[in-house]
Amino acid sequence: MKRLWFLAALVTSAAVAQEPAEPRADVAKGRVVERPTEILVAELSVPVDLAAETAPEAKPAAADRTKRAVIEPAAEAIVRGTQPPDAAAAEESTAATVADDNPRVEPGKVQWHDGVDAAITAAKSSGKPILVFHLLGELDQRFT
Amino acid sequence: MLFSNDQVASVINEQFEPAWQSLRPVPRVTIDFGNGTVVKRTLHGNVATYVCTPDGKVLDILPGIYEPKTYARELRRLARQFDQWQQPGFDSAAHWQAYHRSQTESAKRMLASPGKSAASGRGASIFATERPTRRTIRGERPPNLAAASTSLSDSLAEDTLINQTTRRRKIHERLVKSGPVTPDEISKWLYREVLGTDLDDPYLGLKEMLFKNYPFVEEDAED
Repeated sequence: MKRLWFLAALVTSAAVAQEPAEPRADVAKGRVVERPTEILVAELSVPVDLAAETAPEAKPAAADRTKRAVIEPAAEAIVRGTQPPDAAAAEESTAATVADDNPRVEPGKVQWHDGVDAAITAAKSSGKPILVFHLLGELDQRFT
Repeated sequence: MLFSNDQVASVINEQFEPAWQSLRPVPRVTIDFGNGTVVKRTLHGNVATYVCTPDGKVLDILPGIYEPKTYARELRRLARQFDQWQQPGFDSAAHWQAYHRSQTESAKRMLASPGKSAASGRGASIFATERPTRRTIRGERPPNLAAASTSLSDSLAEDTLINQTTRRRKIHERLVKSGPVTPDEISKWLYREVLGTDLDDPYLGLKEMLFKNYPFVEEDAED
């Protein structure tokens, strides 16, 4: 109910307001609720090929976990209307394992140890330094 | 993204014993268009790379996401640094202090002359990719879409520069004071003070941004 009153108030205030110098869309409601979402989808459609730009001779990874490879194509398809939602869903379903709605992917081309303790054990043998990569989410999941 | 790059993967596989560790689930934003179309994104997915001794003590930290060439170069440099510290008779404790002090000064110099910095790469970054989402949550207008491609490509260079200067300077200063620590011992400080993400906050520091201008907070709370 409060939401309806808020929207009604916006409509009323827009009706009684002076005419702006240039026609403007429903600024308050749009800025708070709708416009940001439109911006989000449109902006995330910009393509970038990191692998091609940094290593032209390298072939793209088959199952890249990167945001470019797993996130942006879906947004492009939605924005451009070139791929129906069903096709996107089918593509998503080909991921190896689906844990809830976050499919597993290959965590790049690095040969990761199974945890920090395993890396420490290996380092004590090899004498190499350890590289620990911290992140939010799981490196072997699509959304990370 | 970084780890699919041949150059980066090669350096890590040849010169390090690598492991990744999740600190907590990543926040996700879902937009349900109501017609079966759903868009999902992540938010605040900051990362950090620790180069450690074989017993797990931090030598140095690369905060955030990097342009691959700079990332690979820094990892090679740190591997050489590690080799130097392993030489017989080398006073690693004294060198630890000297190294982080000199790196603090180096970061300051780089910050003073960003045009000569290492940030010269192109590509997309976590920060760049998530920037539109954060801007959306704040209700801000985006830059010109036609210019967005260039903007996105340049954003990684911008992130790399910030990582190499402002963020790493803070880290070196901290490590001078703390002495050797494990990644787990410094990760909360790193995320809070350097990467701007409070891991102890359920909203990861985004609460004000999410609710400051949102008019339906009370109504939603009643649902």
